[in-house]
Amino acid sequence: MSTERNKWIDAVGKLITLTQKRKLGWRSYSSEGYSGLSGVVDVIYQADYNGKTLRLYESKSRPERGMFPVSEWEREAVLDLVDSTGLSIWTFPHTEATEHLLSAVKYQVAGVGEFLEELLTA
Amino acid sequence: MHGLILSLESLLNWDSFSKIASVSSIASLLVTIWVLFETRKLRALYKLRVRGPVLIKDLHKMASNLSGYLNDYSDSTIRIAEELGKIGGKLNSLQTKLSGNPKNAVKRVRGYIDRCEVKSENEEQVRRVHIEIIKVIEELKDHQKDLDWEK
Repeated sequence: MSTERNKWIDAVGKLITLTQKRKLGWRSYSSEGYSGLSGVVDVIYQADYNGKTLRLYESKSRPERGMFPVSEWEREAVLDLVDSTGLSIWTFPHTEATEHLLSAVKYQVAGVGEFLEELLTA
Repeated sequence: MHGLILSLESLLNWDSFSKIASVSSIASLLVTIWVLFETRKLRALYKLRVRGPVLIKDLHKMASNLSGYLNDYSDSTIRIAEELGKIGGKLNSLQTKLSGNPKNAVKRVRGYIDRCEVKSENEEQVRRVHIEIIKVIEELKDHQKDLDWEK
């Protein structure tokens, strides 16, 4: 099981590297109009790689324990492969690597690196 | 009846008694070693139950920091080296509380960290170490879940 999981971690690790080296560009969208997403979603990130579209988002949920939902939101990054109509055809198994990918994507999309550079050279 | 008494007498003579005593003392030594071994295992298990979740949470945080620094590798080598050092220390602490496969996995990653020199031309190696750290965290989380099952 761990060998199989390690393969997925390696794959997502590759996406992290490509993202951090700006070789894989991500776009952000509002989640409105998207269906089939799990939990509450604010922003969706998409990228194209080798003719496939990757979709990444942070799913928020308040799981019910006992009779009432717990007060704190649980967050989890979800990475999907989607078809041309935007439907999810495969969800990557969730690991720590997916969370790191989401952070790298947010950093890239928000342009944190460029902002810092501009700020420091101003 | 007489024969039985004779055989009991021969069984309970000093020589046989001494042999039985020797065997018993060896057996009790083995039992003591076994109990000692089991107690050590229990102590390690208890320590892991108590400290494991905290150590894994710390590792998770450090790995996230490391991942953040990798967004800008060339300008973050010092911070990456520092973070790897902290992760190495945390893994060392975990290693003493583990046994079997998780221990070997932690040991392996510590080896990667020890051999990894953070400099501009080593970016790929550092990135591989980052991924290995993620793998070991996942393995440790699984192990922790297994321990919870053993409650």
